[in-house]
Amino acid sequence: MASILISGANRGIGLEMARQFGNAGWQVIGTVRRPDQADALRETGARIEELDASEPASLDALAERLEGEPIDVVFANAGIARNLEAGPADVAADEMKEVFATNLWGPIGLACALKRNVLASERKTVIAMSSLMSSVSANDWGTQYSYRASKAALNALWSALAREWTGEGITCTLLRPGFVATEMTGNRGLPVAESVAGLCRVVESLRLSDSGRIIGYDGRDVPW
Amino acid sequence: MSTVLITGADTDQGLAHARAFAAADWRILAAGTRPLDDAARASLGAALAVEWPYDPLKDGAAEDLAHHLGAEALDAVVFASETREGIDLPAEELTRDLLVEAMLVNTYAPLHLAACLQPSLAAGEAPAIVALVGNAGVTGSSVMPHGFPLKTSKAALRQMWRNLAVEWRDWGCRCVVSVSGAQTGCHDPVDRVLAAIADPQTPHYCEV
Repeated sequence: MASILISGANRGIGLEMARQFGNAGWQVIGTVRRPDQADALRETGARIEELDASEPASLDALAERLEGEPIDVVFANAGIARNLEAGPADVAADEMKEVFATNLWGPIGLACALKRNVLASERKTVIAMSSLMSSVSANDWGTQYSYRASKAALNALWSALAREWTGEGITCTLLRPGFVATEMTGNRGLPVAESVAGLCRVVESLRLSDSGRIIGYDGRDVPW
Repeated sequence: MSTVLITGADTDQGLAHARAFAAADWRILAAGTRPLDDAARASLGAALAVEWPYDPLKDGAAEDLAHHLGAEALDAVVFASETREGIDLPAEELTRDLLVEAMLVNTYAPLHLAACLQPSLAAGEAPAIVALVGNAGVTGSSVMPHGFPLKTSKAALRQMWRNLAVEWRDWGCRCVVSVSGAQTGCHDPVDRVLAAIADPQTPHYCEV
């Protein structure tokens, strides 16, 4: 049975991924900040682990608890958005720090903490959740400074990671969920189940040759 | 005479830009964490109008610089201040604080300073802001081993310049991103920046 660890699995896309991967027969580990507030995730049958993805000590503790367990896919899904309407003069340093710590350090910290688990598995895949907001070439409307900066940086980070880890047999891929109706988008956009169904298809089909790509829920490459 | 503010003027790439602008008859306002040494000052000659302290990690640094500038118009700003801390580290040795600090110095600080300087730029003649991204900031193309903090922060800076280009085009600000690296073997990156600024046809977002 293939296994997947999904960070930020208590709501939105992460929760739906836990549900759909579980229904497809995968062994699912969902991480949440507050296990006592993860009833919906618990109902999917997923194993729940506590994690604050922006805290190195929390990542170390998770790695210790999972030591020796092969994990086929580590999916760094946890992310935050703050003050999407702020203009350039209104973006605060503290906001940037918080968003970078979660959206940038969180994924690489998770991938590195669980690298041995991934190497011990069959699929050997680490995925980070990107966004169209990451794309420089597609950016013709501005806004969302801290979120865009974090996702553009994440693309660069995963692309660089692919250069280094693909040689070890690890597939390092970025996925784009599309504009999905979640709390983050004010419940506007694509139904979350539809986006996640596409993401699951992409994850199922990933090969080592997909390392370094950024792929949409629809299977299409996203421009850098 | 046109006026350019150059941050990181005390660094190699900042000084290289200052010398090129001086040679092109620009008036230089230099900002850096350290004062220019005598040789650097001498190389800029009469073009060097003033030096101000600027440490991108210091709270209020951007506001202080804007305060020093007062009502003076700026025709261009070159953001050459940067950190290359941790570029030799493999992914497994990165730390959160190192990565976040690189993002603050190389991505947030230029964005924030540009925002603080907006009134001076808006008073300039065909103003331009120049981000030095290099090949490291062009995701998917960099061949540099490791370099995680630099690649991430410079890619994000490129995205911030794209944002500013969209939002500031209505008052004529041109956002220039220097993506040339020494390894490209192309024309000198500094010359390409100068040529882009001098060309009235340069679009609101331009990579050189």
